[in-house]
Amino acid sequence: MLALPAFDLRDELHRTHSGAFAWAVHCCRGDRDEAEEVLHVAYAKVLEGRARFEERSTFRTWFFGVIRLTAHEQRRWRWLQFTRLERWWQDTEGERDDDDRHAHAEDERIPALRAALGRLSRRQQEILHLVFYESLTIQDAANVLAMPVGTARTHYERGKARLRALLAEEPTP
Amino acid sequence: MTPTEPDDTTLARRFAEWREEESVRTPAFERVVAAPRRSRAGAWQRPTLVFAAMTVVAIAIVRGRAPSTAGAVPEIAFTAGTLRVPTDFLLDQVASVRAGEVPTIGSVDWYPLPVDDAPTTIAPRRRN
Repeated sequence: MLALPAFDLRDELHRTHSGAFAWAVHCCRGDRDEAEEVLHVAYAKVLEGRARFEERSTFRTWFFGVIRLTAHEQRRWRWLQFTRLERWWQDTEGERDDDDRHAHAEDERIPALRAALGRLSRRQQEILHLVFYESLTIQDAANVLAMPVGTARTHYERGKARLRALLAEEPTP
Repeated sequence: MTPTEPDDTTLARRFAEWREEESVRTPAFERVVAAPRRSRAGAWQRPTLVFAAMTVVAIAIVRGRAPSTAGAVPEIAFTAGTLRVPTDFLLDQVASVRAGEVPTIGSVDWYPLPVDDAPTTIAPRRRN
């Protein structure tokens, strides 16, 4: 049973779009094209009723879980479809998207943060992204990642301590 | 916590900067709902076609290099009358014995008694 009418679902999706895309990029390990495809599939699942919101958590928390699962599915599927070859094709094609044009303009602090985050464990990255970037509670983040809240809290504390240490190591301008 | 360590507020601020920077690069909602860039371009089909074409070319090259057996004459032919084996000389000697011929000992053409004259039983040797 759909908890929300279709038009409301679309509005909800629109409202969470920016954060959902960032989460999809994170789930796709920084590949923005892949993230866009994952998000498209996730939207299709929700709008076509293949994924149903049953109000056990907030819509945003539930949808982030859908994105995460979709990213896993897509990764498996992509492997079967010779993703490497596809990527090779796209690289040689020289297709530059609009987003890349902004890349050079980004603050040096952001790449430093991303690099530091990338040195954490996968779980720690996920939990810190959800809590700090998406402003979710640890409980909600645990729901998205389908893990007990105690485990999520452990990953959060350890990841945060490590991230602090890594950022403290960076040279001051 | 050392003075150089960023606290939670600093972490939150840095993530917020990241979020702000990312929000500029986020593709439009309608565009993502309609079709992602990769699907629109049909990019997944092209590498598949390239891969298929490369496979066909590779097979063609491999087959082109392999020696062709079509129309080649085999070196050994088991044709009646032409087959020669190393023991053929025995058959020749049998054929060369004619009735009434007495072979001489030491002759190249010597051949033992005809099969019909051979003893049917051989007496066992007695040991002393």
